[in-house]
Amino acid sequence: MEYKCDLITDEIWERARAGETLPAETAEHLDGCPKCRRAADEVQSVVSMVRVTASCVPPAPDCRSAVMGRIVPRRLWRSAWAYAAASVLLIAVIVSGWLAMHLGGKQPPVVVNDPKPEVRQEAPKPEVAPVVTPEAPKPKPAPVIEEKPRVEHPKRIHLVPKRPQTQLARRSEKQGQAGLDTPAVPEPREVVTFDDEPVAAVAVSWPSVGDQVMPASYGYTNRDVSSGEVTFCRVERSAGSINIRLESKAPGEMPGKGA
Amino acid sequence: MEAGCGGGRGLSESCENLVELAKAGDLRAFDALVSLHQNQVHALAYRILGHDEDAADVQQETFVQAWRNLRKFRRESQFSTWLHRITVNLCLSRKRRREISCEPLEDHLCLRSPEPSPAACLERTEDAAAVRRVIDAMPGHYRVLIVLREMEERSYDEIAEILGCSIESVRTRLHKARKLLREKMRPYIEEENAWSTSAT
Repeated sequence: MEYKCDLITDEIWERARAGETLPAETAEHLDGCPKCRRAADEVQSVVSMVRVTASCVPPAPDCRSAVMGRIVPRRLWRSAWAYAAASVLLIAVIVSGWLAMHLGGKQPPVVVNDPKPEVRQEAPKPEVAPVVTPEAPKPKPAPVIEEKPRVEHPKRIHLVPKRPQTQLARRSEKQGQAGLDTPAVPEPREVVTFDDEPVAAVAVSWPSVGDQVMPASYGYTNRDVSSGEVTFCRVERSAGSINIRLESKAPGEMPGKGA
Repeated sequence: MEAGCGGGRGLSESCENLVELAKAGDLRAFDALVSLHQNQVHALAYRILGHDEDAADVQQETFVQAWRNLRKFRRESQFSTWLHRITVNLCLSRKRRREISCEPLEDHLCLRSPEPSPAACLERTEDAAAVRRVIDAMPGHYRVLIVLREMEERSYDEIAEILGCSIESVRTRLHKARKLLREKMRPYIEEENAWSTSAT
């Protein structure tokens, strides 16, 4: 019965809202059901009050300008972003093209979207290669070798035998000094004589620092292949004197006996 | 009751054309759509919220949201129904955020009454204020149902489309909403009956 009363209430509501009269069956039920009668009266009052409320609405403001104002800037922003993005893309293309034209042959251009970053790791390898050239300093010792002449060592020693050494020839130191002390700057050609005849000539270059000739000595050993005679020659210079010592030995003799 | 695009076949067709143009980015067409529907949207928002300024905000926001989501609108329903769905959702979310006072309601209650007398206006204002208070005190989904059915006079199909539910669900919930409204209105009705009885 309660369920039927609820249904009748809904029907009353719809009829009251539409302004229609109740059907006879419903009106008959209302006569016998005080609860539905009361509900029907309440519904009529509520419906009329709601209708009044529905009609009381303030005039709507014209929101077109506000709405369009919120919409248009958004469209402009979108277009502005689109133009900005297109400009950046265009500049990137131009710059990359320029780089490819000017740097393409010299070095790999900067690849923005390089799928293989290993390529960039391989690029420095040519730079690493020169690091392997610590052997390159090898030329550095060369100047050290070139500095030896600066010490003014004799550049060359040339001994010219005039005749075959058959006898032990020795030149006294006095004789040598007397004959060789005269030049302040020694003659590069030093002559060894035996019985006033030249036995050998020695061409030397004395070391010097500026104008001062430094002490030095030279030695020379010559072996006559045919006779087996060995000749020792030593030239020394010290304190402004030059000493030449020439010694010849027959095969089997010990050196150091003659002068 | 259906204004805007739902007024007639010719108007509906022109509204569909406006919608298509607006979807293509035509601002003038959308401006025309706003002009057609803004009163209806505002009335719905006001009836749900009971506050003029909030209703104006929702009215504006409804059209902005409609513009942003216009591409998603497919002709599965009328444009006005789609707009009202946006409006209802905005109202419910706004109502959830804060309770809105119904005090300004009295200031506007008789604005659309055709030349009411002061006594009639007062009576209507009191009745309307009572209804507003009751409706504002109701749960949101009941309030929306009462507004759509009893004030907006929408059909069950339209209400089901706007709320995104079935017609049976609309019937069931509307029955409960009506029952609740009647119970809440009972003191006012009894008071009015007592006043009219003593007056006679």
